[in-house]
Amino acid sequence: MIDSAALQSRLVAACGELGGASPRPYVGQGVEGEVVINVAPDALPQVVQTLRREFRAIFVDLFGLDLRPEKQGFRLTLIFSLDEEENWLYVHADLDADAPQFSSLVEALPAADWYERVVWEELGVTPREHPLLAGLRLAPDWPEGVYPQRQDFRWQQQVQGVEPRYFELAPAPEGIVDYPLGPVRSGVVESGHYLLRTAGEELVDMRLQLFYKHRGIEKRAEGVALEHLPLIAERISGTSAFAHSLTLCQALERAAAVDVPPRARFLRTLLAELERLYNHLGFQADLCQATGLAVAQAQFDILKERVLRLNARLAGHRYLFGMNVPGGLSRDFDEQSLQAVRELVTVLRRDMETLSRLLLASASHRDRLEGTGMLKPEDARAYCAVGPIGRASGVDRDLRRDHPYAAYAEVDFAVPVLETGDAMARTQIRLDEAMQSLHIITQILGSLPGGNVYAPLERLPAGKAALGWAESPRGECLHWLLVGEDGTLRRYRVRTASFANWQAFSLAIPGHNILTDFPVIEQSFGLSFAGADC
Amino acid sequence: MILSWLRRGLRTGVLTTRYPAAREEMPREFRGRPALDAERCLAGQGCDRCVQACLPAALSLATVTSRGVQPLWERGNMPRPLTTISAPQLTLDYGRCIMCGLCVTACPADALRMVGDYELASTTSNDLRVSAVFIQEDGASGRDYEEKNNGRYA
Repeated sequence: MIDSAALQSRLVAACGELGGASPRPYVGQGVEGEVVINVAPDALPQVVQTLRREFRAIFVDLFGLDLRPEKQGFRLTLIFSLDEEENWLYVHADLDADAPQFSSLVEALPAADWYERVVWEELGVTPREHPLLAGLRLAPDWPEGVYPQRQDFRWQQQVQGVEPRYFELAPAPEGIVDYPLGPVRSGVVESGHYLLRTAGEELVDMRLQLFYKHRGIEKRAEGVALEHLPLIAERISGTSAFAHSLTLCQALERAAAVDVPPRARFLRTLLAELERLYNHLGFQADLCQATGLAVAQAQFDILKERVLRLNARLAGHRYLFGMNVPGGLSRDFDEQSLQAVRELVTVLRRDMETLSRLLLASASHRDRLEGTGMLKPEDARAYCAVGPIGRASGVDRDLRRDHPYAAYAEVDFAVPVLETGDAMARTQIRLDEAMQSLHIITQILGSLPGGNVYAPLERLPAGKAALGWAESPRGECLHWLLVGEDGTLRRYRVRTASFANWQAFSLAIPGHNILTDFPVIEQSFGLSFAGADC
Repeated sequence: MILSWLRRGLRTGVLTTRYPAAREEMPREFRGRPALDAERCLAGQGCDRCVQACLPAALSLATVTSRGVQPLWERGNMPRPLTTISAPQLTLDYGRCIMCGLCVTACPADALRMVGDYELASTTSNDLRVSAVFIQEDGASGRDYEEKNNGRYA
């Protein structure tokens, strides 16, 4: 951790001449470990380039805030991760209240594409020169000019639908066949619609229609009491429920400057790794289903089920709902429960080693994965891919190591990284990560401190803001929150791992993949639909 | 390699449980659904802690009024107007409940507890609602609430 003030003056010096960057005070004063610079909206593309080039700043989020109640217009916020400095960088641009707009960043930063569309659609802020400005998350019959992220929109508000606007693809040229898949499909996959463009056997392009699961969670959280917020965060994506409630609780705890008791930090680490384990085991099972390895699928599902049953015993809920509360955990575990974890870890270690060995020696499985669905390292970097998908394409980042939270600074673990970027690499990364999870759990069980698991939070003052983060099984997730007048939330911003990775998914489709590779590619990414669409 | 998998599969044997023929036991800590013990509930005395704690508004309090049946002539045959009894009614709607258990923590009288029941399906949404009316009459209270099947929701 380095001195935030010195870092800020270096950043202001580097970006200053580009657009009057200044360390002005602002609404939503941050907390330790967060640096803020203000820039002119038109200077954003140059500033972003400078930050990426000279500070190795990694883009993680872009969202807008309606500050018209404070007579300040709108504010665009970009969040970057400064991994080496263990700091988060906010770039603020104040926009006009009547005609809010800024220069689109898509050219300088391809990853900003979807984020800018969300800001345009839900806040009414226009990114000028955006290559394809169309709605993203809201329903096609959502009326234009109704912006749910503005302060004057309440979640209870009824909205009258209009004539739906569907995005029409230009008809396929001669010899090209568009193959629709979804949104309702066989199996228990979530709803997503793909339009696969094929030339003979080969996949040449794909169009993605997600966001059938938009629930307006960010809006719903506004005005909700702090103790109820984990209930909302858990429901962003069931399979990352613990990571999301942890992210939220850590944001609240940072805002309140509360130190969570050590036992709670260690147990949170334990539960977060159990979540990673059942996700990674379930991932292998699903992938084996895609490659037709039925016995292997059943074997991995058995292990996943064992972890889920352990979760039910520990937390009273198979997906660990209800464990995190702002300030710690809702319950402690007795020695008997911890013994059950110990026993399962022994079984899992033995079984996972055997299964990994068998799986990697199965030619029919490997054959479907090797060279399939390549996500090139430069594409992964351009689209800021996160989590196991990023790490399989050479993005050496893991929030557990780069911005340690809970008890991750106190345990030893390796972060596997591969450069190949194919489906095989994504499988390998998850196999290795699951073994690392066992390693972490063993260390936690061996050094679990005693004491309380809960420290109460005081009422948060209005205007307090903080960022929370966690490495969910699918990658980094971030929650930013701003406290309002009555101690409830005024603005809740959720950036999930899947939202970041879906953009990169499309890039893995064209080139050397045939139509029957698609289920394997889709499964090897293992992205969440609901998780991308809160 | 296929043989290795086959051997592995055969060694594992059958793990599929016999549910629903045999009931699955849940761990002691499992949060199935909240069950209301109306005998202990203090809603009749104006308590609404669980309702306050319920984010999805699965618990709600309402006042039911009913024209009480009163004898028209008593106390020296003086006519008396009909009285209206109003009583608080606590409703628990499992269709809205997210089984978070915050009401159980909030309850000061241990009237709510989480039971390990996970079979919640019902054919009508009305069957997902249970309610208790707390009628205060001469210090005694009457309730029209009962748990079906000894605490198992059917």
